[in-house]
Amino acid sequence: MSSLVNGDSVIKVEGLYKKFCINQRKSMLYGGLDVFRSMIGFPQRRDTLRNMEIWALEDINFEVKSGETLGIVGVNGAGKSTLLRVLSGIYPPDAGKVRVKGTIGALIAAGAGFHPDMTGRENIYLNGAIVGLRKREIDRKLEEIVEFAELGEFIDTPVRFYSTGMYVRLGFSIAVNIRPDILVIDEVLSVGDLTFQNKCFRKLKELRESVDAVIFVSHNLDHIRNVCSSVIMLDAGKIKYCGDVEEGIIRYQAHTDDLKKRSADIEGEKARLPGAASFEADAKLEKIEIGSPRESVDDEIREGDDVVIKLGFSLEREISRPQFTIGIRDDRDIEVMTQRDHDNGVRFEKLEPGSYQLKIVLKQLALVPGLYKVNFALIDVDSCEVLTVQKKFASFIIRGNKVSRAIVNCKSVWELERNHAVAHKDAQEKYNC
Amino acid sequence: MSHDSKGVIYYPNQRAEASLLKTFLVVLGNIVEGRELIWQMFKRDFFVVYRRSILGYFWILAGPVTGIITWVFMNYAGILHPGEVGMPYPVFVLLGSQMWGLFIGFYKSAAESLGSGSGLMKQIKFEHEVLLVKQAGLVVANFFITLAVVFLVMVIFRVVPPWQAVFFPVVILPLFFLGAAMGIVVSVFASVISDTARIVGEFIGFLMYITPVIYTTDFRHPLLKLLVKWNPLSYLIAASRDILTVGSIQQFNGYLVVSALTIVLFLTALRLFYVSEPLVAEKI
Repeated sequence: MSSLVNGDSVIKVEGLYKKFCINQRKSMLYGGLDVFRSMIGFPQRRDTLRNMEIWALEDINFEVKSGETLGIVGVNGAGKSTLLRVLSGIYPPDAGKVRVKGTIGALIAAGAGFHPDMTGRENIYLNGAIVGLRKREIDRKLEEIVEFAELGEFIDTPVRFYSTGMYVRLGFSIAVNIRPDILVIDEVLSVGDLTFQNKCFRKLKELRESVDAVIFVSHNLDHIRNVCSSVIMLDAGKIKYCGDVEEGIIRYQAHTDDLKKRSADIEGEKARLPGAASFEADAKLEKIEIGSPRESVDDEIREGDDVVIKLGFSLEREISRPQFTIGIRDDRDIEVMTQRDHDNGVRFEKLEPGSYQLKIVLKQLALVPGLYKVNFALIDVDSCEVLTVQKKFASFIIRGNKVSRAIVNCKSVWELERNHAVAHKDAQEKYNC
Repeated sequence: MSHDSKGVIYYPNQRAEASLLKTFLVVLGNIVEGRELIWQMFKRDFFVVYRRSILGYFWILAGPVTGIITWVFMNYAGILHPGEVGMPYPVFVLLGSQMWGLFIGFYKSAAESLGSGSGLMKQIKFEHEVLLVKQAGLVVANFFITLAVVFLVMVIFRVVPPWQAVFFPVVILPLFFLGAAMGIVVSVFASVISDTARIVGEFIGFLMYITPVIYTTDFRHPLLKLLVKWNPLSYLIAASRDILTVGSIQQFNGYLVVSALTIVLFLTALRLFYVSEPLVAEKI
């Protein structure tokens, strides 16, 4: 760790902008012009967008203080890796300023800088030199790096024969053992096995004492929760939240649920085309509303609320013994619940041709917060005909503080007792005897 | 990038603000600072490439030897009319092709410097000047290995190098300056405009035929005469061959002027490299 004390600013980003061109030809043209203008001493203004350019990072402001572990979350394309590259000095800013105090050790990709024909040992020297270490310094750290990477005799095997996990182990081991002032880790640990992941996280916690700051990017929110002391949520190149980890994670989950719902709704729209999923033209699903009893039309449903599903459908022919089925799947497409009217002791009378509305209330739905999709089927039990099946045609979000990935949730009571108190009591009774 | 007591600061177009002198000092400083990396990368590229080959280091010599055989065969078969070269033709063509190879080597190594390190440049921050030096080092190492073949052929044909041949490493420096300068410019522009390398490649192919590499350029056609006269490589290649065979440079004035120009070109190219390579990193 450098001479900084906890609370000193290690990284300060002020009004940072970074742009990219989304058209290959224009990118080449602008690149050539920019290089030429820089060369002749009239550099191009970089804080404005030209045709086909977009902001990959826009007005980014934050500060990382000594002793802090900052997590960065965001969906793919949010700008996480671009931000890390600017912080590491790989990309220059297009506007704003980045101040970094100390050396940065970045693990942006598994095995970055490794040469496939060189052995693990040779690659350690190469990577050490890349981050500015002298041979003597690498000699001193070699044993520690090899030991941590758990590569055993493979350390003298060319890395082209390594598995992805071995690559990551070696890359991580080099990154952490060279002890930079600031450690930057992009989404690379997810490929390692669980035992090594745990070891890495133990090491990261240990490193809080020896490095000034850690910046950690991951899609795994449990990793963010366990490692980070603060979090930034990026969306479309902008900071949407900066601060407390739990609050950041909740906001990020709500955001990803919204995105998934939008995408599910688009899929649903396709399935909802008139008669799109009907086996017969005799029954058509025409309308759907999902909400809580409080807000009958709104999709906002809180954890543990009743969920009201209203389905409008039309029939072209008579159905003597209708049977309705509702299925619910989560965002991983796991079927979490199926409800049939007959199973609930409900049997509707014969249906004549015409329009109907079916209302189903799912009482105090004990699902974890998240996105859910709905399936619907209508069957004539007498003729065994499936009149309509609509899969994942609508979706709804259960809002709440998602704490873990699971399916059901319930209120729970937790108690903890220390066993030795009982043992002590037993021993005392024995003594008294 | 600028350093102060509060650390490193990155802001837009900061390299363009550096003066010429500061540019060269920073580049030099980065090279000295990155010497360990240069050595590690040199070892990687020089030794490891041949590990995956059965014939291994033989390939370093195979190139020039097969080249000489080809040209000598064409000469004896009467396909080539090199003119009066003033020394045994195998020695002439060997020296010419070696010098040309050296120039092309410097050019290509510089031109490929950013491309060869592109994967790394996107993942890790390091000073990219080390790529240039490593690439040039590879060319020099390969050249001096093949020089053994050159001396062997000279001995066989009883062409004894004069004592002035000790100045050979200095005489070939302008070849490095010119090749590296062209390569650096191409490297930077080719990273953003992919057509650049192809255009310059075509031009260099033509350049060889107006340079005294495999035959004398004693053309009678006035336009060709003019092209040869204004071709800087004519002076550089002839001078390098002269110093190894006759011990003096026949077109000394021309060689001096061209040498001075190559230094200016090289420094200009370095400046281009310095100000533009951060822009290049995000385009590759």
